[in-house]
Amino acid sequence: MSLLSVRDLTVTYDTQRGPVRAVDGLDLDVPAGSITGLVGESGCGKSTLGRALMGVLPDRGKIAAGEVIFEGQDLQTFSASARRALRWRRMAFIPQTAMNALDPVQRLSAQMAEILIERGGLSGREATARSSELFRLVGLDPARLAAYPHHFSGGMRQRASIALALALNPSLVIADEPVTALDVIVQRQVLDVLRELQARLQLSMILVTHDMAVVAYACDRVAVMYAGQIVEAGLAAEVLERPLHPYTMGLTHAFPDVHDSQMSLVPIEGSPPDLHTPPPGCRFAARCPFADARCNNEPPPSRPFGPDHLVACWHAEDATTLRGRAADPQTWAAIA
Amino acid sequence: MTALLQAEGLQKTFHSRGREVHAVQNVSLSVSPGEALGIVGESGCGKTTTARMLLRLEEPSAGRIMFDGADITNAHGRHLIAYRARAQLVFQNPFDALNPRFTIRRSLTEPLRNFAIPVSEHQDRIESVMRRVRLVPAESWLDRRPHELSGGQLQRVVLARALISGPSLIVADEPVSMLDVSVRAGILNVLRDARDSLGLAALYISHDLALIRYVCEQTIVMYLGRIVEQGPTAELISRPAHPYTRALVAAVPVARVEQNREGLPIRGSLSDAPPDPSGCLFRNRCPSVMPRCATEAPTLRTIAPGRMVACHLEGAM
Amino acid sequence: MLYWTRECPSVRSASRVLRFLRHEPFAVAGGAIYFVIVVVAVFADELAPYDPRAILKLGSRIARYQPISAQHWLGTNSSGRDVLSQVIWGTRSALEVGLTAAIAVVAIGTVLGLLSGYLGGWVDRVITWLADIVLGLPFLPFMLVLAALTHPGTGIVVFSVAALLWPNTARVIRAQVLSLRERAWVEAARVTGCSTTRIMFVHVLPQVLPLAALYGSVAIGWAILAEASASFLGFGDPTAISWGVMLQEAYANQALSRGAWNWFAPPGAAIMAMVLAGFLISRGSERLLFPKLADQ
Ligand SMILES: Nc1ncnc2c1ncn2[C@@H]1O[C@H](COP(=O)(O)OP(=O)(O)OP(=O)(O)O)[C@@H](O)[C@H]1O
Ligand SMILES: Nc1ncnc2c1ncn2[C@@H]1O[C@H](COP(=O)(O)OP(=O)(O)OP(=O)(O)O)[C@@H](O)[C@H]1O
Ligand code: SF4
Ligand SMILES: [Mg+2]
Ligand SMILES: [Mg+2]
Repeated sequence: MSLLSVRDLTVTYDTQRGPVRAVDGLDLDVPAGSITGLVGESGCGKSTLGRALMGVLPDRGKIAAGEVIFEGQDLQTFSASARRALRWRRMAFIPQTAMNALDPVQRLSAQMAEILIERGGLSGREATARSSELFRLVGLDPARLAAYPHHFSGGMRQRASIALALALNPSLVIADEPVTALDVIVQRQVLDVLRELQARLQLSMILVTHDMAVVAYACDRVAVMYAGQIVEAGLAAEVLERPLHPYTMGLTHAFPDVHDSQMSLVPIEGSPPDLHTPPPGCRFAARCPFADARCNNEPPPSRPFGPDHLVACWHAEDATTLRGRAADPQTWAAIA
Repeated sequence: MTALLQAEGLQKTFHSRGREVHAVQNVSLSVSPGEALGIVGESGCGKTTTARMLLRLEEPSAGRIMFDGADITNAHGRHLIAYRARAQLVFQNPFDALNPRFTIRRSLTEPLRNFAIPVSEHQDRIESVMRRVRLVPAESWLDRRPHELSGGQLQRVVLARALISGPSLIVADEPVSMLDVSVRAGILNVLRDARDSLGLAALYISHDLALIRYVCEQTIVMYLGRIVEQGPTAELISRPAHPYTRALVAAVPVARVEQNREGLPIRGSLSDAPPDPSGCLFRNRCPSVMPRCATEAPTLRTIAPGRMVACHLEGAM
Repeated sequence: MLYWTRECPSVRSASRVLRFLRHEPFAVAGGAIYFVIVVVAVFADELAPYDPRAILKLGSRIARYQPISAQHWLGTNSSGRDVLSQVIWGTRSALEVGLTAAIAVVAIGTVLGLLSGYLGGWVDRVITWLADIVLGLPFLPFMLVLAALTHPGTGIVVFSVAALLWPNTARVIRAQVLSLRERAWVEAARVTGCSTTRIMFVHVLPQVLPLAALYGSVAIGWAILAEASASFLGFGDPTAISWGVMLQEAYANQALSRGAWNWFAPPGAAIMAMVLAGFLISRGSERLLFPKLADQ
């Protein structure tokens, strides 16, 4: 059974131009003990989804419909305080700007103690011991607990915020772009920390990123998000090797590969739809080289292909031929 | 072949709060006409400072810069303007690279005016450069202001502005790191295409070797302000000589599920205090450190035609 | 996905100005006062019931010391002139002095702030040093000495205000320019061949003008107060119709012992309103310019 299961989730923001559905009828399952990569381009709603799951949406955002089942319980039925009690203890969040989200004027030991004592009910002494343990866990020297965040490099701050998230042994950690602003070497080190902790503590993790290579390196599973919806989800090996959705196919050709000098990158032309007025059919249709009349008019439902692979595309049956065509830059250039 | 751009012994020392920061030390490089050279390295290793010195946006503390046979290290006034017309920069952050009050047309006209290109040519030049960066029809973009454009579109305008004076050299400092994945490929392709069809020389700066691989045939690896390795990109990636380059290559993730997930061949982090400069600056992180590394600073030596490395390891390959 | 913000700074500052108008009642009140004064000054001809210089007659006698009445809403003064009309016409000279001084302050402060912020180095040191000296000069004595040494009049007032008030403007402009010069598009201007002068005046200046205007609005109030003080002390232009001259006349004719508050209260209130307006706007502008500071 899934640790987390999201059904038909819709999150709206109130804006001057009216409500915008940043997450729109989204389904997602996160099995226990896995790292799920959530990929998609800027503005597709990754952070919104993460925040909605944690119950920490900004003021103008609200869950308009759907349910979030976590450890068998529907979180929508929880009171605000019950929800709060869950945070940190059962599920933890590493916000997108974690590096800057640490309190700059408090020592890390104090920030750690605040969570451990106030949220976790530990004694001062226990908190100190646990803080040191957590720092060691993420590969930081416990002697540096007395430091302020600005004494740390970007990678170290990211590790510290991971340590904070793990403070109360949550079973689910949602990490919003934990490596985006980091150098490759530091990125690799942080990903290794996450992978190792996941294996050691049997955590589940949602790792938000926009980099397919990060997914390939660190995740067991992947969910590809486009314009507020999951368009493809499944085992990372499966989705990356045999993508069924044209958008995923496009993404796999959009990254250069260090070991391949022959490849030519294929941009996905155009830009995502305005979420104030989403198109009636498939949201990707305007950028999709394979779109036909049905794509433009009817939204494709999410359908299973194989044991653990979901896709929302009318042409998923033809994926094998489409993959071949998607590798050709001319196919995508026609959209521009 | 004579080099288009050549730098010898570039050095930059910043003085901040009584401390000396040796941002760039003894960097020499050369770019031939039509060639693309990449500079990689971790954050803070001096890539941007090097590029800014080459473009005369930062005064070198020491060293010499030659462009097309002329010494431009101290060029000013008319000579500096002439150099600027031929050596252009693509900025990292497209959201900040255009004057927010100027329309696209005005931003593109600025260099034309400053480089004294006859007004009769302006319209043609603007249209052809907009075609090159694939913002067509030009008229539908020219009267907009930056806040009306997406990141990818802005970066295309920034590119257009760099190309409009007909330069021979383009320097691009992390040209796509702030852009969305789906538009990165488009920008890289425009850059590649401009180079091929206009015969531009290019200097790319990035901490992403995969990107450098895509656009550059030659690569320089920097560590703490110094060049530690240089050579043809493909060889440097397939057979890295310097232990730091090895770590850098190993750290780049690839979009395939089967890949190397072994621990990186590097210790510590960049923020650990660099060792005193009497020996190799990498020795506190190097997995192959030897006693000699602490006493003697390695200098760049040639290990194969066109390949140089600054490391004491004998069988560096 | 990344940490940049989509909004460009000018858009942001424009929307900030709007938000500020909505959320800063003080500043809006200050702006309203200025607005009323401008309207009164422009339509002084139509609004004033009498010629402010005319010596009014009551039958054959000069209409001195008239109390408040339907004919004279604020009475008449010791020389038989209508007080209300004088107050109304006084807005004109007040605005003339205020605006000229403010424009001078803004022009000097902006240019010096721009030079010192953008060029840095010795230019910055010299200008900062000058500003420190000027800030140390006491205003009134400076003006009075100047007036005593030369020919008294509004010219001296405007000059003193401009000479002593520019450092405030220069300082904020300098700070703003220091942050602007780090922006990539300023560097881009260099790369695309702009001369330093062109970068300063074509690229950077338009960005700081709104800020300069705000500081100018504060200078208006200051200049009017200065003019009133100078006139009151007899260093102004005695033939002008101004609030300062009205106060001076009231004082010379023992308005206080006569209980003729209608001679000094209206011009006094008008001066206070102007100074207050400048103060309110500057208080509000602090929040606009240093939002973080005000939020704490
Ligand atoms: N104006 C300056 N004053 C003081 N130190 C500076 C200045 N500019 C750069 N430095 C320092 O010089 C070193 C090199 O900086 P540089 O920006 O060239 O690195 P980089 O390789 O471009 O890094 P990144 O990948 O983060 O852009 C850093 O240690 C930096 O802190
Ligand atoms: N507080 C808010 N008020 C109104 N709209 C918002 C708010 N936050 C986000 N949005 C909108 O919701 C959509 C999804 O935003 P979100 O931040 O979740 O995207 P994302 O996938 O995390 O993007 P990125 O990769 O840039 O972090 C966007 O269109 C955004 O403009
Ligand atoms: S449903 Fe149609 S438009 Fe949408 S991705 Fe599939 S083929 Fe493309
Ligand atoms: Mg996000
Ligand atoms: Mg840099």
